[in-house]
Amino acid sequence: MFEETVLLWIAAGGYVLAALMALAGFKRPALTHIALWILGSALLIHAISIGMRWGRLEHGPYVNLHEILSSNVWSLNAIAFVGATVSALLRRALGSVLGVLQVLTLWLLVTPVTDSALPVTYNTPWLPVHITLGKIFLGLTVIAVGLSIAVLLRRFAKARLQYLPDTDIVEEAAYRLILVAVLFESLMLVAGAAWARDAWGRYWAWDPLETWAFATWMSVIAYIHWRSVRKPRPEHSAIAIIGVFVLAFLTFFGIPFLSAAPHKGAI
Amino acid sequence: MIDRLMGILKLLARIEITIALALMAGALAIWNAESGGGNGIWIVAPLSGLVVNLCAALVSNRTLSAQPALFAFHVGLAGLAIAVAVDALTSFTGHVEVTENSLFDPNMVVGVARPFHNSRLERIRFRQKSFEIKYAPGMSRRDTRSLIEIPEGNSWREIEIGDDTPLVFSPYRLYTSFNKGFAPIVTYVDAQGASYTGAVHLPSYPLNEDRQGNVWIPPGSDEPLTLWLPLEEPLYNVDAEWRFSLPENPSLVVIEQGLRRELRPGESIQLAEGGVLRFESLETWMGYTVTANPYVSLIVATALASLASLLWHISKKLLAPLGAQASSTSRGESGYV
Ligand code: HEM
Repeated sequence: MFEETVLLWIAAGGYVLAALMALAGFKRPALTHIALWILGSALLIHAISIGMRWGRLEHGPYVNLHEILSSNVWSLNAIAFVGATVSALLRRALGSVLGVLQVLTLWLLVTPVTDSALPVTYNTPWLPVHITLGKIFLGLTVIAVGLSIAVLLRRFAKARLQYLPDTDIVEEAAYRLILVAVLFESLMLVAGAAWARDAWGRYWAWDPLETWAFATWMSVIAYIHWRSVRKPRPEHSAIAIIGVFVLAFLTFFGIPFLSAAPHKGAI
Repeated sequence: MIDRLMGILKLLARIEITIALALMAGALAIWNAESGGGNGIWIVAPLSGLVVNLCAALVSNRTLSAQPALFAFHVGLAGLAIAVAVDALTSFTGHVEVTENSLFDPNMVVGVARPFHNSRLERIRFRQKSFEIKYAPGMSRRDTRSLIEIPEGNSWREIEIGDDTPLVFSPYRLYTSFNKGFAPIVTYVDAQGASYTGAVHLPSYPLNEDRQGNVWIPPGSDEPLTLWLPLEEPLYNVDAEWRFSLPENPSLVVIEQGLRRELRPGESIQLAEGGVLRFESLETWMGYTVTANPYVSLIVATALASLASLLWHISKKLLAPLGAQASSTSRGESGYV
């Protein structure tokens, strides 16, 4: 357990360093490449730490707050890493994406590391499918939020963000990410419903987590229609994306720990 | 006439309505959950509104009909709404308690059958054998394994069901629930000599550990008896592992018109109104949830078909270079994503 935690701290240090480098990369794009190398290494180290814990507890990192934060910090950084590797635009915006993610890194570091036991009804093949789809949804949304923050920062720091393409293009990229995200979110809901039916004999029961996930889905749909039909200003679209993210964030990291329903998402 | 109808449809199909109703549905859902609601009825209004809005759009919106993938997706959504409505009208949810070593009785199922649910509970046939529930220290309930026998040809076959493994007698699914408890088996012989043996289910244990009693009226009598299982101490130690188990050396307290008598297994008492009551043994009962969604495959099919169309629509969209849709005044750098 000691080794796991040490590796986790090293990885967390890597994430923070990568974020700082990527932010500096707004001014000197070459630094973004270094940020990507550091990020890749941190992901590897973190993966080893998660793998050790998985082996020791014999279940994946999705039961208590520490595990959920840790696995999300990993998956969100991994999605940001892949995005920045395949897309020049996302590489240039990496600073603001990683900047957002440091909130989670800090939260992870102040959360006590405790062991957990897999609850009954978690022993189903739908669980990893559901969780993976959810993580991809959140990852794409976080990148869209990073782009949205860049759109908003443009108003104050135009010179610093000169290497980013046109605001319209950054915003459109964010919108497209949300379109792909809604597909994954919908699939996540379908897989979740399949799991619920498998585990409890009902596919939807408006428990707190399901309710909040539904509200998040509705907010994304409202956003998509508004954006695609009303063509709002990029700044307004950016604010709406951040709003959707706040709801998604509460659903993922708030509700599981407040609710006592059988479908806790966590516990 | 057609024009007026189209005009109305266009009005109903406005995207502002979609946005407003979607936000309203989300807000209502959260408001209901936070205010302790939970039956989902309130959400029907905005969702029905969305369905009307969507159907009107399918008929009257050019942008939708001009894009086959997007159109197929929205048709799929309308189909999903219909499938959910069909399910809501045909589903069943309930629960049942089954005594150890006895047959499941469809008449004991308590539940809500939706208006068009075609009840076939008598299809469910099984005999409850033993069950095992493990608790980790701290009284955290771990897995439940219930051994039952199901008919096979002319004999019975033993299988194990549990939290993740339902017993399926299509369309019904039975899951072990957290409800389980003790059931004194008693025989009542009335004044004419007719004998009845049955189980009296005590409230779920350990949830109701302080209330291990129940009122029972012997057949043909109108004198209620109170039956109690005296448990001086909990059967578990909170700090240790525990397996749900019967108390050792159980006894049964029978209270009749204020008179309290305690019976050991095999002992009988004479009741005031003439009959005789014998405490045979203490058994357990297992609680199951019973659900049926006969049309759930319709939901799965429409959901997957519409998501496949959405994938098709989005992939076409992603292939277009970024900036191609931006206004002509923008500098339109492309090739970033
Ligand atoms: C309920 C009534 C609904 C109506 C009237 C409606 C109408 C429309 C229309 C007219 C468009 C075309 C936008 C464009 O490309 O310019 C559209 C796009 C879209 N709608 Fe809906 N829709 C409805 C519900 C939904 C729901 C429930 C979803 C849920 C996922 C949804 C998801 C989408 C998506 C993803 C697009 C594509 C947007 C784009 O490609 O930019 N719609 N919708």
